[in-house]
Amino acid sequence: MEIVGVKIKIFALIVILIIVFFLALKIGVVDLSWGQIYSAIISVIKGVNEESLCFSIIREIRLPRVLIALIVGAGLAVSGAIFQSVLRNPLAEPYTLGVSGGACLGVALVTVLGGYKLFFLLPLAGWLGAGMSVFIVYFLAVRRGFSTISLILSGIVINFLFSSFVLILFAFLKPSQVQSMILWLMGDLSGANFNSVKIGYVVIIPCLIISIVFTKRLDILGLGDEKAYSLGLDAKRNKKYFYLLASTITGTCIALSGVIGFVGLLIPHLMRRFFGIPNKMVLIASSLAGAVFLLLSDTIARSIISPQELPVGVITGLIGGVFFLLLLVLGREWKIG
Amino acid sequence: MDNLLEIKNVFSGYNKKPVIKGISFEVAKGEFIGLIGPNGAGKSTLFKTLNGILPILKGEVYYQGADLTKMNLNERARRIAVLPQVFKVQFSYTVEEFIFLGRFPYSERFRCFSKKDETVVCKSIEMLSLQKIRNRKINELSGGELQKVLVAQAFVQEPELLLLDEPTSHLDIGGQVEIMNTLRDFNENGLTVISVLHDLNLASEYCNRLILLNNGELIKNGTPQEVMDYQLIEQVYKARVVIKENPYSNKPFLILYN
Repeated sequence: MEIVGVKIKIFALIVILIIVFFLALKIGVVDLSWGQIYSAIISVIKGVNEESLCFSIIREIRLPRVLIALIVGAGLAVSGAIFQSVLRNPLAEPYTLGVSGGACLGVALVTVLGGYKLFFLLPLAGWLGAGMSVFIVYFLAVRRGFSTISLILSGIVINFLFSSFVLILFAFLKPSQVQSMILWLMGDLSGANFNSVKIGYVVIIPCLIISIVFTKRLDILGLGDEKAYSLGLDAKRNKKYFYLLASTITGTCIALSGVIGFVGLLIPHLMRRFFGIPNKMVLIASSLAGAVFLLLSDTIARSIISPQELPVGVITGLIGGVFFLLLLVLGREWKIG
Repeated sequence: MDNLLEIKNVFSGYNKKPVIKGISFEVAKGEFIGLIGPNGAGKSTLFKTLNGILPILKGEVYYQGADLTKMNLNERARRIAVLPQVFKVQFSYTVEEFIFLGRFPYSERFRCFSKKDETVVCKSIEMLSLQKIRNRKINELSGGELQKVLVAQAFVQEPELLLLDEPTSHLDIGGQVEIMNTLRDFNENGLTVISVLHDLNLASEYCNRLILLNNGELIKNGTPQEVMDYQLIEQVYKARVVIKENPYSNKPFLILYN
């Protein structure tokens, strides 16, 4: 692909990202002017505390939420692209390997035990649950030579098993608890604050950088184990590294935002259309486009029936579902992969 | 002649159960060797063992005097290129992008491809006459075209030894001859080739040595004239055959009869 064309596309994505960033700060129940937003952001950057309502809205509500949407969107899209290469399946997504099942179980357990009253416990439980399923799937797959089939099978089994446990736990929940849990399971960015922003950026940004630095290995893994070995890459070992890397990103995203589907499937797929198959540009573009997509979806989710909010997963699910439906209808022009 | 590869009493297989049992042979530089034998003879197992995918349960494999199993994978990839029997296309790279991946053993972490990489890839595209399809997606290629692209990718590894597992399967006779001619050209330019082949006539026509396997054991190792013995072939393949001499190449060829 022409380098100039790629640069223009990346530049366009960055411009779109900036536009959506400011739009997301502006759109909300309380209408803020561009001037108010600008001065609030400057105050936040300078670390000055203001008493105004506008500053509070930006500082405490909209900016953390926008920043979380950006990093979670980028993280889910990149981890989707990684899983697709590692599993050699363009339809794999961050939740294929049972990560969401584990996260749901963690959250359900904490809710049943009454821990939902502590704001930090739900994300922590989600992260621990995701981590638990990652390691169970990992060890099950290792016993079978860490083949792609063993990974996917272990993931499906663990996901079903944990989802069944969640349904059992539902029987012990009060209706209000079930409702709050379902909201979380469908993706919810409303709990964002600067502490969660810090966690997100400190964990996810290094993971994104590592995956982009080692992107050639990901390309080779996409050719299959046999070909990877013949090209000098220890496929088994590198699959484990990337699996753990992508799972760390996914687990952190789930902890910050709940379970948000389709970002990791839709975005890498689209980016391969626009940037070709080699993973370097796919990962860079996916991180930008994933950020734009989730931020846009969240802005729609919190404004479409304002002052009420929809879970962001509903919007990403709708957009992703319609997209893949069109894909099926258009068929030949839009091949998968 | 210098030995490139020495295989000494090798046992290998799946789940610690040996499929190949005590195979020994040597490969000299510049040879074109055909690994032949009926289904289940252990050809692909031996191939996967040499590729490092299956562990050696017993015995040794030396590459230019050094233990192949202890060789760094990257170092090995710069010396030995492998074409697996089955290659499923999952991501639709263009032909050129796909061939560039063959330069992975020479790549540096923080750099894109070098001038040398580009030169080698261009040369490979020219040698295999892939100029017209260099921008096509590999999942849109015919079986023959894909096989040529796979050979081109192996070629850019600049190997000393090329291992192929049935490179002509699924190809029509034109495609088979095209691939085998390309391999012969590479071989004449100094590349050592070991290929698993099902078609005994192709093997006899192109290889200067044949190694016949059956039930995981080496049955015969020699020139096509030595190996293409009708009694031996009938015994191993359980089929009735006539062996004749090709009047053009003077190589033996086989005719089946009932």
